[in-house]
Amino acid sequence: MEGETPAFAGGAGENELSAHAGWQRTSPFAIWFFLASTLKGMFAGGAQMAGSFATLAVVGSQGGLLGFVAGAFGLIAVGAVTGTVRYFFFRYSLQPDRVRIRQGVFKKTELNVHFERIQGVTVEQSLVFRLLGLVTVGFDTAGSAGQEGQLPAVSPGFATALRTRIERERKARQIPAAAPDAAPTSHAEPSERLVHLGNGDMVRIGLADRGVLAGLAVAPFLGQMVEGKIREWAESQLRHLAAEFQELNLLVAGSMVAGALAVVLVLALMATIASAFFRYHDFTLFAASSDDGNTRFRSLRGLFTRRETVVMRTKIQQLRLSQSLVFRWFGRFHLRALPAGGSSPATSAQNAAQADDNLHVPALATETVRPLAAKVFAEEGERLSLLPAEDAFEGISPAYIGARLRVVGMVPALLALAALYPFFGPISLWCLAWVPLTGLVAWQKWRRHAYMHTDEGLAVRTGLLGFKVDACLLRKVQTVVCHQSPLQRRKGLATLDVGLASGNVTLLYIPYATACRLRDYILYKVESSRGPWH
Amino acid sequence: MAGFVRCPFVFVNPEVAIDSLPAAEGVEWRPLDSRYLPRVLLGQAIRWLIILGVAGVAQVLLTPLAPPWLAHWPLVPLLWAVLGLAAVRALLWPFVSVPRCGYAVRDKDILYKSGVLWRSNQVVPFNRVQHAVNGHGPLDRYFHLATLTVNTAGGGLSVPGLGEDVAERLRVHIVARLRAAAEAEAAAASEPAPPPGEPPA
Repeated sequence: MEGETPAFAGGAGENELSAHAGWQRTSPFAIWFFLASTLKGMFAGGAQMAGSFATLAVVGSQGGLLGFVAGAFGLIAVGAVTGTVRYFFFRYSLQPDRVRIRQGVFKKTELNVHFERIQGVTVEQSLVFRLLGLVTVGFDTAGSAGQEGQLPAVSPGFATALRTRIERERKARQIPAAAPDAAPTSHAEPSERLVHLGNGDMVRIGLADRGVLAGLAVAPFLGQMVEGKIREWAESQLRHLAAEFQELNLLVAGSMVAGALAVVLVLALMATIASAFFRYHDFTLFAASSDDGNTRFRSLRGLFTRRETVVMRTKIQQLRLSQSLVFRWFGRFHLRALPAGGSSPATSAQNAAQADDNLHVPALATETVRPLAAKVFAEEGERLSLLPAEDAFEGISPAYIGARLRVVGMVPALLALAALYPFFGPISLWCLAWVPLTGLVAWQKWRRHAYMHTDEGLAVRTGLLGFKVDACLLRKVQTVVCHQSPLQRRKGLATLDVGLASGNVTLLYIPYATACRLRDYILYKVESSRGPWH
Repeated sequence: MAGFVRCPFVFVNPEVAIDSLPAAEGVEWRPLDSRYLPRVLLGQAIRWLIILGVAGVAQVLLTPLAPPWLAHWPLVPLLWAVLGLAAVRALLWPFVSVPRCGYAVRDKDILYKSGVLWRSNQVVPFNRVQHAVNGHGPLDRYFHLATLTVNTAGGGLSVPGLGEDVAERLRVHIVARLRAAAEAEAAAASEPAPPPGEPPA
């Protein structure tokens, strides 16, 4: 146990809040926040990104490199103007029981975030704000997947005082039933350091990043996009190399190609490792418990942009432990605590943003998984294991393989064969190679798929090459659905879909009797438990 | 031990017999309203009239633009055959699927079953319900029907084909259950909790 220290410099001044009861603007440096937010919006979703890049491409095709640069500056100028206007229309007010935020130029919105609804406070300090001595405060509420409201460019002292006040007001107003998972009493309460990631972990995270594969896949397309003199230079170099190849033997030429690929791979790995350092440098996770059993998790991370995330235990609906193939070699896991509302369909960019707002540990050692899960699930999850290699996991019926083979393998293969045979003749019989391939995948997924349940919790293991384990407490379940296909009815099987506020946990191809008993028991736990689900 | 408040109630914790838990399989399913089948048939008929009409207009407009090689392929008759089969299936299938749907309301939850080949059985506990809504489309209003939708934080269920009066009674019942649950929670919260580590009285 060690004393928890504030992440950001600045004295907590409660008096500082009293001047914010009326409608206020934040620091003018918030324009930088809105500018960055606008630019992020331009490139966040697929459609926005396509539109922005298309604009740049059109401008670039008309004016060459100069036009491209001018287009980029134009986008930034649009962002700057939009950011400035957004800043002037952004006001906030601190009331005794809530924060009110007014924003919007054409579509005006007023947000009322009541203190008792706030379940997590995030304080972020980007590199620019670090130089200016400012932070951005975000509020998470029950039912919101990400941050419901943000106050950009406020002083660290104000942020600390605001957090202290939120915690005090929450404690004063909350009903006693919510007490077991309420907010902490003070910022300086003792906290236990659960996880700390060092430089070695940053390298592991970088090596396991799927961005490496994406970068390698995108590299040829990027190469095609190179225009003008750069392309000419590259082509001249390639021609020169080709001329050299004629004089070299095949082995040397092959070595050179392999070397070039290795250089690209190393560069991509270095990029992902650097990204891991930027995002997770000095990652530390604390758990703070107060006298009445309250638990909150607080993580600090980031090299330039320091990010502090505070999540209350009650907001966590589900724990997801995943392990990619690379992480299996390293003996590490990725742990994510999914909050209510975390299952809404979103783009990958939005998912990444949500992950930033939520509690997640990017590299967790095997021996740390159990203590951390015990902190989240407390005594209710004592016998619930997240480790995929546990013997307690029960496998599912092998009928799963046959069903997958028919639906994903044979039917598409036969349809493709019927469609292609008139045009291509016997060569289209290669479509049938799809069937054993899907069979192998189905067999591997069947081996991975397993489930376990205790009196209080449920865990489901899935995966293909790696593992993914989803665990939840039965009392937090929202809906239960039992499905049966014709094949499952013949075999006496069923699929149980357990709906949580964070998403679904699905048990495929389990015995029908087990599914029914589990469903009835879950309903019993939902009804009989007195603990809050959020 | 000074400072302990004696627990005002006797703490009991009997073992739960799993086999004695109420089974959702044994409930008495109530069928949907008899007016729901004609409502579905009328809806499907309107939908397929629109689809077939759009397809006919598309054929008239696009036929002159079709490349010559397409004339050697029976693509248009094939598409019409597929559309026709789909329309016939859409008009006949409700005779099989609607009677398989049913709902049940128990003391603690609401259930809905559906599906002919792929069957599903949904259960939503009342104490997880966020809100309950009755929806009335134009056809529903014509047939005096409603769709009850019960939402939770993690999905929900919709029971279509309820008589308007039944749907409203169900909605009021669910809202009353929610209110009662909230009051019970508040009452339980006001009870003093036993001190940690204190053995039960």
